[in-house]
Amino acid sequence: MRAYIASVLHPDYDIVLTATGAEALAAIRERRPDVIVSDIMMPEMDGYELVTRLKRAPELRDIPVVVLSAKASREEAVRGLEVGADDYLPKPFAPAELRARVGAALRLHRVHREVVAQKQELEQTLRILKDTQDQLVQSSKMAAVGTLVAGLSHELNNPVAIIRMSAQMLLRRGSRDPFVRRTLERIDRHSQRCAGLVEALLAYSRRRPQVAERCELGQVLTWLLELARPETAERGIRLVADFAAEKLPALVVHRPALESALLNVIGNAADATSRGGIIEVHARAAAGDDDVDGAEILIRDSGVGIAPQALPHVFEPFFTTKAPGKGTGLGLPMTQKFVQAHGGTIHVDSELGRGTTVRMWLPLVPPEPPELPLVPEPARLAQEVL
Amino acid sequence: MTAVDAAGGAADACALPRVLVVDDERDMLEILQDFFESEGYTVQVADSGERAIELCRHGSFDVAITDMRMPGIDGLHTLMGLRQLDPRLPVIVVTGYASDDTEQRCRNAGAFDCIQKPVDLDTLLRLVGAAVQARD
Repeated sequence: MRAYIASVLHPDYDIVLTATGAEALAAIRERRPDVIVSDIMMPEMDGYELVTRLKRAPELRDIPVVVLSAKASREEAVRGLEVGADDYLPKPFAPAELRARVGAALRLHRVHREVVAQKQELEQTLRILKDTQDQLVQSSKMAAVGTLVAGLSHELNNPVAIIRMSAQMLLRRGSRDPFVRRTLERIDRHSQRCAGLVEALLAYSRRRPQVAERCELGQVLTWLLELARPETAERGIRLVADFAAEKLPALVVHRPALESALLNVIGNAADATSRGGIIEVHARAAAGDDDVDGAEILIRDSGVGIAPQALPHVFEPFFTTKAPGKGTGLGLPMTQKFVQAHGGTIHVDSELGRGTTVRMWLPLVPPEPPELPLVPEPARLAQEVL
Repeated sequence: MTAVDAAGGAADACALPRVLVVDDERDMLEILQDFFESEGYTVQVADSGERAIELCRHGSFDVAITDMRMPGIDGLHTLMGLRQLDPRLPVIVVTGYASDDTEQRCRNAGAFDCIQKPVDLDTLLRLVGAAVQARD
């Protein structure tokens, strides 16, 4: 029988003949044929068993199986189909019939493979589309926030300036009435606070990052720690520097931007940490992805930590868990914006009650002049949203 | 020399220093006028760059302070117009935007200095004093 089938299908097909179900399984696994033709009546493992096993194996189940049934037995054919055979051929059969059935099975298999490939392609495209959509929503949200912030802060600037200057003028008059003085000083203080907020907003919506220059990371960190130390000491927080300043590389960055980016993180750490707590600042030269030379800066605190549900939002502008008036929600977004503009990465890990770790990596030299469309022109924004 | 001559003529050591304040915000003009007058300056105000250039054409000043963002011609072009009429006039530009570009362009156009809003009155006073001295 095997020899007959082989002679019928030769020379259009490359044929492997096996004598038992076990041999067949081994050969199928090894060769991955396009079509399987199997008798039903076989010793040890019969055709049903073979088909059942094939259809149970995910990697083999797509190969079409044509079972050869006895002409008298309709049940054989039906059962063969029931266990998963794709077609049957009653014996005896004419050569043309076998060729036709095998040819049909082959076509079916090809179509099946095409469908699978297309499905995978579609799934991949869908995934990319979904990611792109998420990014688009995020970036248009950010762009809208940026435009809003820029406009609002500019409009706020004048009135705040006028309030503050008016209070200053009255203070210069030097009233002797302590009530008047106190009141004026309060106006001055709080208008100054508004001015500070406006300044933070303007800095956030700033269109162009400034000129990058070479600066020693060790020097910058040392200076920042000096800057932060009086405040942390007063709050009873230990500020620990864990780096060898002279061993740290120089970075090409806009130094004031780097300083505010790091100060934002140190400030958050200080706000999250209570008396007796500790803030560690680690830094080392470290290669990033693709072996780009750079530096890693890690700021770890033993503070209250960030709740898991809040963690995904820490880089969103205006998101803050600080008390009203204590945080603008712009610190980490600004830090992230700075880091990304310089081709670096930033990650925040946190555990409630255990503390927070902010890990930043910056390349020694930004990959290209850091210019981000921080605040798109209104016309461009409209196009992007449309 | 009569008082009228002094006001219309060139800077005079004995005369009060003359400040030209340019801002589209009425209240800002008032504050700066009150402030500089109380500090012993003669003040003229202009609510636009065009008006400032007009005033400068008919009189002379020891120092000008202009807002950057105004309807009509902005602070930069006001600065350029004023310095065309009087190349030695020190002009202080008050910027609302924390934009380095704007500041650089103003400095390139010959601004005496740029300061950012909200302006601290003491800082402004020192700056105006320095500008008047620089002109002398």
